[in-house]
Amino acid sequence: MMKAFRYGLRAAARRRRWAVLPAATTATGAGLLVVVLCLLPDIRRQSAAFGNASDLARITVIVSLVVVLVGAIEVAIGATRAVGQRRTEIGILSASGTNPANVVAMILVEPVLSAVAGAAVGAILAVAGIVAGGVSGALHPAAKPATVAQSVVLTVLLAAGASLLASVIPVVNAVRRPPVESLQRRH
Amino acid sequence: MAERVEGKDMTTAPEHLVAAESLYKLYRVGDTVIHAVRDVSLTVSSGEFVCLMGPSGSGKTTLLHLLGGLDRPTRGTLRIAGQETNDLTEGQFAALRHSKIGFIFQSFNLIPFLSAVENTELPLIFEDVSRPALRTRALAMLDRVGLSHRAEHPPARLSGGEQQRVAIARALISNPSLVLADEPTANLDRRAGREVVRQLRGLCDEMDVAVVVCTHDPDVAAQATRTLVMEDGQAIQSDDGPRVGQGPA
Amino acid sequence: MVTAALEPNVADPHASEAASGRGRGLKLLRFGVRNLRRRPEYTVLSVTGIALVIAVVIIVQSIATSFDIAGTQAFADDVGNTPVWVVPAQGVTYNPALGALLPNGAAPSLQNLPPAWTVRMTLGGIWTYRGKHVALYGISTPAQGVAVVSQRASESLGLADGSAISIGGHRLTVRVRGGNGTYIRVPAGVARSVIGDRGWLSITPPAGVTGVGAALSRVPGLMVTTQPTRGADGRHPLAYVTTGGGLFTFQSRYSAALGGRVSGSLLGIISKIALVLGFVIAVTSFLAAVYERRREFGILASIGLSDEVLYFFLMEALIIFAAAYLVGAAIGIALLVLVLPGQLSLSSVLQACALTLTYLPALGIFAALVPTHRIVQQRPADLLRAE
Repeated sequence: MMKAFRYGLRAAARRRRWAVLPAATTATGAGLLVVVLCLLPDIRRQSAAFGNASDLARITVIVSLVVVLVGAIEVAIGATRAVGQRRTEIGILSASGTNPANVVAMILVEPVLSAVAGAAVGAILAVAGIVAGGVSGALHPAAKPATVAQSVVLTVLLAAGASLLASVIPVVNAVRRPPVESLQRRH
Repeated sequence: MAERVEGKDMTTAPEHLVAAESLYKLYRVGDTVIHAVRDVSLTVSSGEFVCLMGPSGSGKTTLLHLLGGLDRPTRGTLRIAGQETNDLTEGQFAALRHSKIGFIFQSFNLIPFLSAVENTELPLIFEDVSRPALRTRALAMLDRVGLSHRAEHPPARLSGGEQQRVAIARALISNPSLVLADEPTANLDRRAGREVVRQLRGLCDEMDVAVVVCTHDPDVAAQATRTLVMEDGQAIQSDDGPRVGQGPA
Repeated sequence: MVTAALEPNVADPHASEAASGRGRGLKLLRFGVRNLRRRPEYTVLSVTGIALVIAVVIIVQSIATSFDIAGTQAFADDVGNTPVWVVPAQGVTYNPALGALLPNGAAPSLQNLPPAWTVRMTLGGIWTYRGKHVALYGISTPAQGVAVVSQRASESLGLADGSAISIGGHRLTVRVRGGNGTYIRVPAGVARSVIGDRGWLSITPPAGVTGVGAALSRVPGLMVTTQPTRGADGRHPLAYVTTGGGLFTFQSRYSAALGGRVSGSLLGIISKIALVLGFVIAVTSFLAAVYERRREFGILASIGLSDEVLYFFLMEALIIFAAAYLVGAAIGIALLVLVLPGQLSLSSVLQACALTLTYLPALGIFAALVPTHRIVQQRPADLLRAE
């Protein structure tokens, strides 16, 4: 299995040009999510004191959920496309008689790695922005470190989960079917 | 690791590498049913170079896929190296392919982000072979197809003929008993095609590998020890030796 | 699959050229719609992704715009019509939740003011009543014993007109008057005991006086400006001269500056990042679509429709963006109405929708440009070779 992951890493490295756009999407979505999540406790706190005058907290939660949804969808789409581009590779590996479990590992590494890396970059940039905002006083008040750390971790985990789920399913389906279906042109 | 295949030993003639009996393959496309392969029986022994010929749509490619387990027959039985294949799972068939069969495709099907030597190594990367040993072996194989000077090149920087020769090296590196080739020269010019056939035939004779080829190419057909002509999914003619030119292939 | 994409009436390239401009546009539109309907997964996914982003932008933008509007009115409510407004060195902040301008430091004391210039001090701060925040202003010419409570504050704090309220130990009668922020106005003495000395000054020179700016600049330690965009520097109090501003009144310019600051803050940042996200999603989606369909485009180019290929694709992109805008606006408005009913004015939502609409064409065109450029660069033979 280690060999499968090593191959997967090699594939990810060599295919990095294809990963740029999906990673950019993931990064932007992750940055957005981190910013919104970091604002959340502040807004909750403020609006609690204002009573009904401000339901800002609720709408911010909803915005966070929508952002999560968009991010997850886009990550899933990116992962599915990445796997789709490698259909012939899956076919060859199956035709050569590679163990299906190994094939899954070999293919999965790239989309998951790309998603996690993208999310990490986006999250870090967002944190840098928040810190800069807090320091310069433009952001008032700045977010607590614990919140920031939590939101970064959550975002990266979400990206990993969405990409894993979205890539596992097509790959497992492909290795279960006869290789000729992966090798021929799309219906 | 590859699954171990529990095989029943054959009761019929032990020297048949491939024994196919009454193979059928049916496809449903929309409302129509296509009989790609109809009641084809075939045996292949080691050392043979069998050509499957016939017009487009005759089913020769489908038959080839069935012989290699790339596709499953709708009906009929297939034994490969004594192993009954009908009840094998994909994983088990994969293991069988892994040890016994090599493939060569019309469109080469090399992995684009791997170099020639890495492509050649591919079938064996999970075996208990050290990486340097595997690399040496792959380089040796590439040398035998005359491509050791191109070992580090990716497929994009290889000509069609060179890519196909890498595919041959890849197919043969695991010392299979059988090589299945689907129109290996169709995407090549005449000269490259002849070179490819020469390499294929030569190596397979050296390594005692049986070959089943689908082809239109007369240069390939000329190498056959046996020819099977197909039409509309059925085998209509079976000759020993190359097919003596009779109308368009 | 390819033949499904081609329409019989497009087979003749000359027909489309001969058709009139308008008819051609319509033909293109119908062709684009049909093409998108044949690829439902691509259409649905692209539209959904962009629509959700648009929903976020509209939600955030509506809230920001409503703060803008509130900010505009805050100046009128809280500072009012005063020829000279002197803010403390620490400046003044707009509190969006309360819709009120609040001073950040003690009201300045000024020397060397010309005689007969009226100086009124207004104190301002945040007071908490029964766990709820409200802006409290102490004014120097109040009605005694009366707390003027804004409509919003009355609802938020549960204070009815005529009821009694105790502030800093003083008993006052509540009078509810309009106003858009959440504030209470009380006599300065009452306010001081609760919120301290923070405040600003309103100065009125006598009628007919000229050279206001010059007179002010003779006050030691006082900065003078007519620009609402300038803020106090933290060391010197700042006097805004609000008269003689030309076409736009000081009030409108100050409110604009205020609104800009609010939008530029967190909400503005969120909506900008969201727009970037939408753009990236669109580009990714279109690039992938162009790549997957390169064989189809190659066929179209090979039968002489190479220019048309560009238009087809741009039209499809346009349709997707239009659909995404409608869906996104619907989702955004629905969520706003469900979660924040009555909090936002219709005009702020409409403004937000209009603002987003202005971003879209540029976004859409740029998003479509990259893939079409790439496609047009290719030779049809290369495209046809694709699988």
